[in-house]
Amino acid sequence: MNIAVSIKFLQNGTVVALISCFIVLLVILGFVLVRRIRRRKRVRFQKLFRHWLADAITNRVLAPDKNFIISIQLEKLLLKKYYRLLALDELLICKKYLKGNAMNVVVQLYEQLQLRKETDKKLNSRIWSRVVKGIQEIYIFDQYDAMDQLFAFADNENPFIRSEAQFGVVNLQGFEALKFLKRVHNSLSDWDHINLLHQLNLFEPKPLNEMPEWLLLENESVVLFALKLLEAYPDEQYYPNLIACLHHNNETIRKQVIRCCGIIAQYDTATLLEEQFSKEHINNQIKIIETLKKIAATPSKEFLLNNLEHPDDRIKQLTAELIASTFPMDVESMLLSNQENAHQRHQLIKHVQALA
Amino acid sequence: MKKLLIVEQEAVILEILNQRFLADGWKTACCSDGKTAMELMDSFQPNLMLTNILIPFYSGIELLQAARAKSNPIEVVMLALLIDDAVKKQCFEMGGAAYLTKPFDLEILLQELNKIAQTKQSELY
Repeated sequence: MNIAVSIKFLQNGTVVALISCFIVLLVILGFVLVRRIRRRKRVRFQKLFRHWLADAITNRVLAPDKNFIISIQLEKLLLKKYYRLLALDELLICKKYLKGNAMNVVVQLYEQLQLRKETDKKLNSRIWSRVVKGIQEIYIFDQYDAMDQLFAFADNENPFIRSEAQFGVVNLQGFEALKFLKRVHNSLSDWDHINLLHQLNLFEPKPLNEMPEWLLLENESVVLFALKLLEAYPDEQYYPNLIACLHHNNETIRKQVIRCCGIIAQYDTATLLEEQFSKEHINNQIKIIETLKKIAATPSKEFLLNNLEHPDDRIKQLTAELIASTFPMDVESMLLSNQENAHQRHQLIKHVQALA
Repeated sequence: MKKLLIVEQEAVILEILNQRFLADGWKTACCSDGKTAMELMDSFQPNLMLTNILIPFYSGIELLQAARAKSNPIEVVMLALLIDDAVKKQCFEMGGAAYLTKPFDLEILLQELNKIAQTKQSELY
């Protein structure tokens, strides 16, 4: 009789649904509770650690010979990975915000708490985002002994790891770290170029002795970066190497060479650019005229007159401007040398006069 | 008594600043948002305020404005993440005492604030 009642009870859909809801509710409540406990523990640890950290920094600044004293409670907590990672995050913030003595104390604490072990684990992780975080920790905490590892990561298949490692080595060693360029087989993005140039800007400039080798590398992204370096840190001794790249297969590289010519021009630059002009596409042709406007060398009149017949109006306009700047006395005679398209020629004269 | 109000969103930096200034003999009050800072300006009545520019509720600039508008104006030192010339100019025009950028040297910051406190003290007496 009892069994029959039980079966009937269980077959009742409403009751089953209620029980299911209750179980789901219990699971959610349990989950929320665990999260709250974990959060409370985290907050308590952060409070404790921040207080200890501030104390350690203040004491060390006031008494440099005094050793760091760590409470038993904190020491126990720091045995657990979860808390070690939290401590690492706090130290990272301090290292980013502080400089001088206090910053050195932060690095000492990182080493004394053996948090490098956590960084090494991240570097060995299979998840790229963890590796990137590990690389960041290496250069933020000035871990020079990991340079070889960073150099190896600088040519990693993963673009994020690669970028971070390249940034890291330059952050630690400045211009000396650029030796990685010769070993890189994967390409450097435009964003990498910007980041590296920005980082190098924080260091005292040094001679770019490896420039001739960089300009001959197969990796075109490295050649392009080397040319950008040459533009940012001009050095006339590399002019012949630069000119050799004017015949490179890559149009972007040639464009960068033309830009560099505007910075380290020599007596033959105008002639070389004039010779190159007819072999270039329109964008590079425009760049050539702009560069000729910039440099002191005088382009030939024949080249300028020919360009006044160019099918692209932008070239005509830039050429007129170039004539006005290099042959100011001959503007009208040169621009009106050809009576075809007389109206357009007069317009160019007006444009040039307006600019003057 | 040198009284300093520290407004900084990053808890660990706030704690470090607090402890360093306490160790140097300052009386301090700390908070991490503009709203609490406004309240503390009235209740704690600091001589000096060290504030970050980017903080919740009110910006550091608004705090500076409020601090300088008081009958006994509070000297304000701004702590910014970036050198923004326009903001820096605005801060000085509004009566800011100094504009420092992160990363900062704790000892230099302390010296700077002591100097400002001394100047204010000599102006009063």
